Amino acid sequence: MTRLSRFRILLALPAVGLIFVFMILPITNMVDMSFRTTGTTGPFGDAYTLGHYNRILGDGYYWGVLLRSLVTAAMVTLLCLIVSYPIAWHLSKARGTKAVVLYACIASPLMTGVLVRNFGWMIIVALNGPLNEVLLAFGIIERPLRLLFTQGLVILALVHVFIPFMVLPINNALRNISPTLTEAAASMGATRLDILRDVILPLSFPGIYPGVILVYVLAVAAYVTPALLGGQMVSYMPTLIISELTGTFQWPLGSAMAIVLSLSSLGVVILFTAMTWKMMERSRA
Amino acid sequence: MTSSATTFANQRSVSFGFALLIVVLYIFLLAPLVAIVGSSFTQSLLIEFPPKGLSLRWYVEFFSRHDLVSGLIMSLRIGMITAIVTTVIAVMAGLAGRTLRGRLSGWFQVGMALPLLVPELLTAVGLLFFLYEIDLGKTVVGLQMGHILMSFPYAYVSISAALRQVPSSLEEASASMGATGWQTFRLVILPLVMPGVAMGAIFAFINSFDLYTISLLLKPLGGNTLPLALFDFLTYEFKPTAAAAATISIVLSLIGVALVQKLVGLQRAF
Amino acid sequence: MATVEVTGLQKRYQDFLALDGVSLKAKTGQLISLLGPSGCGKSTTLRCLAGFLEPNGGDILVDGESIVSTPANRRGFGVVFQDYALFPHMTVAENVGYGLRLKRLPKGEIATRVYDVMKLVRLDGLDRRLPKEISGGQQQRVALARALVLQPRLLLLDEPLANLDARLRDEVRWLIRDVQQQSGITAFYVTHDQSEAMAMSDMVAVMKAGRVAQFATPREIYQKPTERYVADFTGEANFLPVSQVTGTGEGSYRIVVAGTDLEVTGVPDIPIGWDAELLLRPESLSLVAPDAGTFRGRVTKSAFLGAALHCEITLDDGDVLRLAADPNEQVSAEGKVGVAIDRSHAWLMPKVAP
Repeated sequence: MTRLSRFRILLALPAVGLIFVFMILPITNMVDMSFRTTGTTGPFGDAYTLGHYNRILGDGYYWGVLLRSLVTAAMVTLLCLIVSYPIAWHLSKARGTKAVVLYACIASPLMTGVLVRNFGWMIIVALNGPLNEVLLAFGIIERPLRLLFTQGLVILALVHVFIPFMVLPINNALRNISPTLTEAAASMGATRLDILRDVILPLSFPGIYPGVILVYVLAVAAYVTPALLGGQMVSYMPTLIISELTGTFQWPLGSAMAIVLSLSSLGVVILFTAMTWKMMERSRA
Repeated sequence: MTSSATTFANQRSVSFGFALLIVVLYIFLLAPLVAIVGSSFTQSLLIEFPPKGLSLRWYVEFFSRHDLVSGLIMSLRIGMITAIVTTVIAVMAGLAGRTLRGRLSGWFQVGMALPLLVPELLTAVGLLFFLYEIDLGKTVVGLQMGHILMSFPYAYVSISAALRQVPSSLEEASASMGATGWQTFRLVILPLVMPGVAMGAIFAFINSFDLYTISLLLKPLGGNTLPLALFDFLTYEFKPTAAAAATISIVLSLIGVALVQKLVGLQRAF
Repeated sequence: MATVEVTGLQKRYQDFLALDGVSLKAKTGQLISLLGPSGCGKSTTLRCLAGFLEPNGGDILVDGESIVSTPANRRGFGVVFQDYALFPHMTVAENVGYGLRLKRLPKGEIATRVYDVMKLVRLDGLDRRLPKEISGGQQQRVALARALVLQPRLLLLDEPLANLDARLRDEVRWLIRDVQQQSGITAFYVTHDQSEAMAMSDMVAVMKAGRVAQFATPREIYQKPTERYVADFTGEANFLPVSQVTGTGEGSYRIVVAGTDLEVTGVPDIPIGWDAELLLRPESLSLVAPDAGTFRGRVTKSAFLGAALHCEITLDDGDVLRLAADPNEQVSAEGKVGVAIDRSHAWLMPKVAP
């Protein structure tokens, strides 16, 4: 078998090549790009400079946008967790046909593009859209709310986009918790709230952790939703980066911004991991 | 939880409140899709939900719009090629990954999933410059490579999971009966992992069909994918044609969901 | 410290009747085993007692008070699960102290009580470990300590030894019995292992298809089963078909078995004409000279097992008996032998209880 295995490892070459050539090289290249001077004839110059980083880190405007991106993503992640947890809990209890239907309800939005789903929200929150009509009919509001192009809508739509990413890992973690643990806790006098706090939440952490990380990283770098639903008033890092790249062709500055954004979200991920390390160590079965 | 009706006090009223919450959350989850599909059938000139009347006029309108139709064709073509290419290299990579053990195997899995783990924006920006430098900037080939890269992990994850289910003793048994490596693959492994391979292809296709950010940065001159065309359309004319276009995309994803359920079951797939 | 009375307990799942009128009684400090094959309703009964299942009918009285509508978390019973159900993210001490923490006892008191109970189950020194870092037998003892530390009125054990290997099973079994007797807690013990049930219990309930087939002391269950099902489940047994059953008094009969007339004791009031059998445990039979003993036959199989010689004897009329002979006995295949029976251990019973 050994001679055969040595040959078989070569089968990975196309995939490794694809990822190396079209991902590792380009990102390395981008790091290089972020230190290039602004070009006079092309999108970048030949000389190297720290100027773009100085500019981003020295300018209150960029700090503001970066902070908004990081904070918005954190809010999206938190809301997403709160909304997804009951769904995941409910899903983890479902069996048979009911489970299939629920999985389909979660997978269908997941497999529909972000743009399409955001467009759906445009229809729902339109001035004469169903949401305003329902609110008016119940007398909750007196005149239609203008929700399109608000930060609130961006957050709502992002939460919606990422729910499946949060629900699925938490569901899998919850399914791995033995039901006798709940019964054991109950026999010791625990109420439902005690059990949720002391048993279910800690033991579902191996699902919460990847869900939170994935949603946060994706939310920080989300472009489509703020671009389509956020309007012109509020800038997020990704929209700023893309306009630098495609509008003004500031490739080095755009690269530096993308790297700053990625490193800061990586920083948040590391911070979160460090804060929850102990919990993770214990809850890993 | 019907089986533990007495474990806690006032179980029933709490269950009712929880059931209500779940219904509201699923409405939230499905509302955008329902709104799009519903409003695509309207008779009126405005995007409205619930739709006014029932008609297919916006589908007719969609298919008469050159920009949208060419976007659809472009997306279908790129998606198809992406599905085929990623599936083939993912099967190969999966077979290679099977021979690895322990920590090395873990790193290999992570490496293969990299395009999924690194934000799309970062990869897209990097590729934009890189393709420009190797003279593939603003070409269909460049865009195609971007899609293959971004969709590869989806194919790989499904296919390698299917391959893991095949015990290596089957390969040894096949070899002991005189089969060559290729014969073993063709006659033993492939038939067993076919559902997983098909699912990988579906995921890769749908992911490619939905990609936006990378397509925006890498789009070839004069060529648009359907999401790009739809975005432009939405910014300039907010008409039910967009709902018709989006519905086509939703139908594709529903077909995908149904196929995945049929092939391996949604619960195992996710 | 409680008396328990279960009356006519019923549990229905759609069309399936999991419990069909289970009735049991436990005096203070008794250990009651629920014995039976899987699906007989023994775990369902225990789960109704614990409050994890709501019965559809019948009642459970603890110290004379009905508890069926009391939720599980207010019953104050200790439960030990087959899979131990230790919280994997809590240390051993945290697991044991969890119930005390819920009662908001002061930290110092929790620590003392945890320490005491851990000593009782011989787990001292393991308090900082996580469940995955200790052995199966130790995990089982943590589960026991966790149930005991709350000084429950009732201790419920669901196949607590099923996941242990044979050596540990013996050790933990005695520990459970010791601790239960020392603390005088009434306990219910679910098992499918008859030797476990026999060794540990004050009373055994043999269950069959959602009913209690027999509820009696281990000795009675073994020696005086009410039907073949009970005898079969409680150990090796020979059943010989009988004819011409005539009652000669309360629980005594004259029968004809394998062509021989016998006076035996048996289940009282077997209806006339009811299908009955003679139960002969292997240890109540012995090999004798071919012309002595009650039955005559030949050895058709024998196996030397060290402590005993297991023989299969085919009687002249075709019935087959298994017995454990003296290992020093010399038997030859197809050799003619006589079989003597210890009359006091022969037991006449119905094939199926009327």
